[in-house]
Amino acid sequence: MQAQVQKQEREDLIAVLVVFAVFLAAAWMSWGFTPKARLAPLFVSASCIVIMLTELVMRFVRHQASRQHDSESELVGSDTRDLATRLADEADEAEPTSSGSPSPSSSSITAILTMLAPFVALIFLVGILPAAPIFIFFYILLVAKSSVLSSAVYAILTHLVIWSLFVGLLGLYMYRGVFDLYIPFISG
Amino acid sequence: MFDAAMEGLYALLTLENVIYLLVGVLFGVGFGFLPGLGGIVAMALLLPFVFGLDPATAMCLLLGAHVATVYNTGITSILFGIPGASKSLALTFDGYPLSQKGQSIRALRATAFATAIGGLVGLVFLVAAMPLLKTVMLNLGQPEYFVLGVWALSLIAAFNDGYMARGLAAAGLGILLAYVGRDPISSTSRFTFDQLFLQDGISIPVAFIGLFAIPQMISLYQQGGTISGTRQVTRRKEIQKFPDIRNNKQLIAKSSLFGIFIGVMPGVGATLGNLASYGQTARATRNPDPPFGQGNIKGVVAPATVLGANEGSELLPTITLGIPGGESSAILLSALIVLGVTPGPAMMTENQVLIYSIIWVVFFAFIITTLAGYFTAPLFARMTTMSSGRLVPLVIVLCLVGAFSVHQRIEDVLVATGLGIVGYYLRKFRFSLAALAVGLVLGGLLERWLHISAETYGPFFWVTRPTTLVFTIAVIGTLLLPSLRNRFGRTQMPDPINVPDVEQSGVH
Repeated sequence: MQAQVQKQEREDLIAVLVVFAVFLAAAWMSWGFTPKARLAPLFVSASCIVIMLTELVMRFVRHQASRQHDSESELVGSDTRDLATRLADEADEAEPTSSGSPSPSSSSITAILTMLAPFVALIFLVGILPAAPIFIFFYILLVAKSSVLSSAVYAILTHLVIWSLFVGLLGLYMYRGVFDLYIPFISG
Repeated sequence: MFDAAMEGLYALLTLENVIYLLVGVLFGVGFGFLPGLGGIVAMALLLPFVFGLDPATAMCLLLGAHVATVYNTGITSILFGIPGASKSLALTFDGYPLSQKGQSIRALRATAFATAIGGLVGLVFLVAAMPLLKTVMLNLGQPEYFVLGVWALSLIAAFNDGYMARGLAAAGLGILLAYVGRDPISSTSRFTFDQLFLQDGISIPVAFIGLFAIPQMISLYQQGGTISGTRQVTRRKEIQKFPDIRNNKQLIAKSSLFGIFIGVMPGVGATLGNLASYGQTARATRNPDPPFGQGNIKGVVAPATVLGANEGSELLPTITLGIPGGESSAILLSALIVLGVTPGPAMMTENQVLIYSIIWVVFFAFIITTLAGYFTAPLFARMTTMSSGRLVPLVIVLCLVGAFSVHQRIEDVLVATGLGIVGYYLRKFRFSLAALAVGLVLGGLLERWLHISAETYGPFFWVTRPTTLVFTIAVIGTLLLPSLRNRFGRTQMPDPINVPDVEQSGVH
């Protein structure tokens, strides 16, 4: 429990520092723009730097305060949990009830690798119109563990919807991938 | 005025006009639902078909599609937590939690009726107050728009309960994202990293798809199961008596006024009105049960009403001044010009019958859309009972294809994916995606208003003009109010930005 709290606290601190760094970088880049171009982004970046510094200071103050009040809260029962503890407790409460589900932090990476990366890679390789049914077929077959027929039906229907809307009705050119493949009845 | 209104109605009552209206509504129903597409695309697609038509008939087609998409942008907001447009952002706050509770039919039908009632009230008000509203509009200038925009951002940031600093930071991130591309004032390239595709900036539909759809699908993937987790329960008697509408008459009236007055602001009135109405409703409701952000129906009724009411006020600057109130109004304007009608002050005297025909078209379009929304709600709601294993890939594919279709640039797919991953982690660490989205929408406009106001009225324009001073006080009050409420022992404002993630959702 303590290790999880510390991990949450570390991750939260890293997130705040990353956002702080983004604003610092934006302010630094804005300085290189022409005077009129830099006015708004510099103002926004500077304001947000102040806000994030305030957040870091308040975070430190809360952390110190929660350490002091830990023993008092045991007697009084008030919720003086600091941010990291609250986050950890919320994550504990919200653990997926279904058995065998991955933990949130690892499964977000898994989601990205399972879901987004393959589809985006397919789009770049074979183009949008072939990538969509291929991705849907294999995802539903392997991840949702549906039957081959069901997966194929979803894939074909999705392809038909995309083709008729974007190619048939809107007349859009659909990216064909790095190999510029033309597949009859599939590519636009 | 009455004679002109009746003449406008008679001009519509032909079989041809009725058919075109129905076609427009059906077209809009299909289009508004798809990510990346929406009212603008629907109207743009129909524009070539209006050549050669009578102006009233052309308005039936265009406005029918437009009004239908007004409602339909709320469908994905409610079912998936993915706003179909910036103006339906506020519907995600309580609409999606209602879907998770298996009450998506209730939410969709409440949205349909609230949108229609807001729209009808807005139209009546528009007709009655057209001369007065024109005067009010002309007195609102760039300084007022700027401070109102800042107020909207502070409102949404203040709602990031306990994390207001992060809400403000998220708004700042959104504004900085809006500055990617060429500065419109000096043509300087900003934050483009020498990439050609970033010269035009980040497209808002692409950003919305990335920021909302992808984190939502990642969460759904982690959660497993279905969105609702239960079968839909439709208690027929309750739905037939429309309790959500009957019990919120005052709220609907107030939200309609929000939609009318804030909606007159060109370009962003709908977004601001939605958020402002939601914010005011959350503040004004004592002891909400359930809390806002956890499926309170008022959190759906208020922004939905504004969506409808805004339609009338968006038409006002278009008709009376020839200034489009929004993107779809710009298409309407171009259609009128092509048909030989010149919108503007002269239209009030030379084409009064057409003005009233337009108002009647919007009136009937709302009624037809409401009926369509009522009967299709169970069909759409079934999607919340689809397993995530099937729903996630379908939504991801449609969203990324939609992102590509905006500008037909493959880089937009990467942008949407990248923003999606960033959005997931921002949300995880309590940076409000809603504030980021509003910052993105308003960023460019705020800069323009700031430049013009500062050059015209000096750097202290935000306190030297009476109206801007009032709005500035509202901004300060909004930012200080959460701290004051905590200090004086009131319960903290509920967090309406309950965009679901693993921590909040679960199989019921």
